[in-house]
Amino acid sequence: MVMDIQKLDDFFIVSQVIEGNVNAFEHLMKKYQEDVLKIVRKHVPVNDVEEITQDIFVRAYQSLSGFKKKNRFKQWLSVIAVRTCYDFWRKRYRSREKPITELSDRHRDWLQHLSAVQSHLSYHEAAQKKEACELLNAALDQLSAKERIIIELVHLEGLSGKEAADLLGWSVANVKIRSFRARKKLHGILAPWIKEMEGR
Amino acid sequence: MTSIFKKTDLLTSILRETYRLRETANNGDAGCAHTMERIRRIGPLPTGNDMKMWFEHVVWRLSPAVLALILITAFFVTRLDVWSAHEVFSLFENTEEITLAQLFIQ
Repeated sequence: MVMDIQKLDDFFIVSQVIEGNVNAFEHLMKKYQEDVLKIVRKHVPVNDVEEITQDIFVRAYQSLSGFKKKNRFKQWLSVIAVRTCYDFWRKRYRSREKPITELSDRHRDWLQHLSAVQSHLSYHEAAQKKEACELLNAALDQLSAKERIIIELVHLEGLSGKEAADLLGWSVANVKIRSFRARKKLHGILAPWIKEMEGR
Repeated sequence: MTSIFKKTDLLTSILRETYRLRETANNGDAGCAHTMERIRRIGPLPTGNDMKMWFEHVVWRLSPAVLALILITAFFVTRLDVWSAHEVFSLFENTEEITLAQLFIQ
């Protein structure tokens, strides 16, 4: 008999897993894998997506007894996902090499073309370019792990201070202060690039 | 010529859009089979009926209160004038009993 996993109550599945039915966890995984992947794809490099997603589900399984009926499973899992991504960067930053700050000619050309962006279509096309992705990574790589996650959640994703604080387990005041500092630092990183948009 | 603010806005909005596009990028999957393999290796989760787990949990929960109690007791013990009370007590204890007759003789 094939069970419709969308119709099964999350708390029922969780209680099944806690009672020892390990395989029931697969239902939760299948139900929420796409939501978790969406989060992970935004926060970690392509090559690490699969490994981090697996870590998130393993962490979720291990802390399943902490899941309360009043919480929504998706939200609870999102918290684990974001914190795992943050942990990934904390570990990565300890052993990383110095980030690249010099722009290549290809990046300079892309930046100069941005000044000509007028329509929504060309704006969307510009965002899809490989150079845009590389520059975004280069900018984020110059931030610390804490600044990075704050910039991603608050400034790039558009979450409120409260939402980001709930996801990271920080206080709202802490999020606001870090967000302000990180944004200032990011502006400093982007300043020479904005000059490049004027042309050499 | 566009202002520096407009350029900053343009660059940040394009980078924001690039970030959003990552979400839909068709790369990497959850690797369900591999994850379930790892989870099966971990095995069933410890149940709440486990006495040892319960005891450990209670001990950890009570530890801050116990620590506070120890500190408060230590504070009061050091503040208490135990030594002088002991001295007074020993004074009474060592005092020789003098009879009324002895007092007159002296």
